[in-house]
Amino acid sequence: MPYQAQVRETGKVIDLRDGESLLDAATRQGVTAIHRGCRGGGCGVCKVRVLSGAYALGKCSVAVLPPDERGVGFVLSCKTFASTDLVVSTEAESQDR
Amino acid sequence: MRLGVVETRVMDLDESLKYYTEVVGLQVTGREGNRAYLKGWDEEDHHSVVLVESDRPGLNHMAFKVRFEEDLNRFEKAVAQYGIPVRRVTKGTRLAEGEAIEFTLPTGHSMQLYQDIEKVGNGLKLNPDPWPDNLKGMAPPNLDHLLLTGDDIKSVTEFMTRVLDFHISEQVVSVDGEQLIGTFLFRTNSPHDIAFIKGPDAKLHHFAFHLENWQDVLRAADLLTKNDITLDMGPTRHGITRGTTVYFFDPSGNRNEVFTGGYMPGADFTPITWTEDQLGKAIFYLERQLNDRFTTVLT
Repeated sequence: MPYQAQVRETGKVIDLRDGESLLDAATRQGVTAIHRGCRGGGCGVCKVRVLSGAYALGKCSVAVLPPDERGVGFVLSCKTFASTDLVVSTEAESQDR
Repeated sequence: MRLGVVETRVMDLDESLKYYTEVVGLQVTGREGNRAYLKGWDEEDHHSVVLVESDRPGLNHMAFKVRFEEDLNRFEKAVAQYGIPVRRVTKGTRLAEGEAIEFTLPTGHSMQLYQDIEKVGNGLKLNPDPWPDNLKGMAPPNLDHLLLTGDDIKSVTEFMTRVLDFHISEQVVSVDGEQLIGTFLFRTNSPHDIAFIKGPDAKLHHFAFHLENWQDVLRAADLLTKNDITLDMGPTRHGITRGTTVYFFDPSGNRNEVFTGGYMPGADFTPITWTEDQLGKAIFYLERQLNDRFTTVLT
């Protein structure tokens, strides 16, 4: 079932297709607040914080997404696959962005 | 010496192997534990790329192959005399590799020199055809160069040129000429075997494979789309080196390039200088501007 992700700062709603990462959906819909980097979970450029909702996170570099950040909802959007609707923040303070 | 091996970290070895063999088109020559060993079709040594499974991408080390075994002693002394600690890597640390020396560059990157490595050959030494059968993907004949980032470009360039006898093909300087922002270095007849550009220490910008011509670069770019591989930039031409190129990312976010063309410098080559305000044209000659991704995405 397709879900939606809302960007808190802009209110913009991103439609998520089945099996589509948050980043790919954002790119497809011209949402530039989420930046595209390597698209492989390696560089950290697409990092956002999920404020609400459930998701699966694929393999991400611990160098750019350490465990303590994962614990409070930070994700790399290229490896984030929603399993409910999401609210995300593109301006949450991270140690490494 | 020449660039012989790049050992890079990947986050999923099986997924990465699929990409490096089927899309890039390297050949697997060995697998042991969490490491896989690969080579381009025209390379004679056992491997030029080592993939190591890890929880983060990036470069473990790069290794340059010296001509004679005794060169290791000579460089071991020279590097130590320069004030950089050197250690010996024992034979058999990695599959097919003999003894090596290892040291850390002023930019924080681990560099090795070696001479001894098992030769598996390219099968093209007696009355050969120009290329073998069963090539896959982009099918680069060989590894070409790598670009690393670091804070102190002046120091690393001084070390590479004075101690390891690299030559500068091109340099990027601040407009006032005071600051060194990047250097492109060669030890063979390539416009760059290794390059350094200002940025965070110990990071990998990219490593590149050689292709024969511009048409092959275009075909490589086609393969990126066909296989949904993330494109970074290109196909385009570099001002620096005059080569043609396309950049893309491996499944863990390490940047790869396929590169062809450029001039053939000798040891007496007069370096080319670019000023920082022309960096867009220097890097991407056709677009004449850099994008944020190219300068900030590092592993």
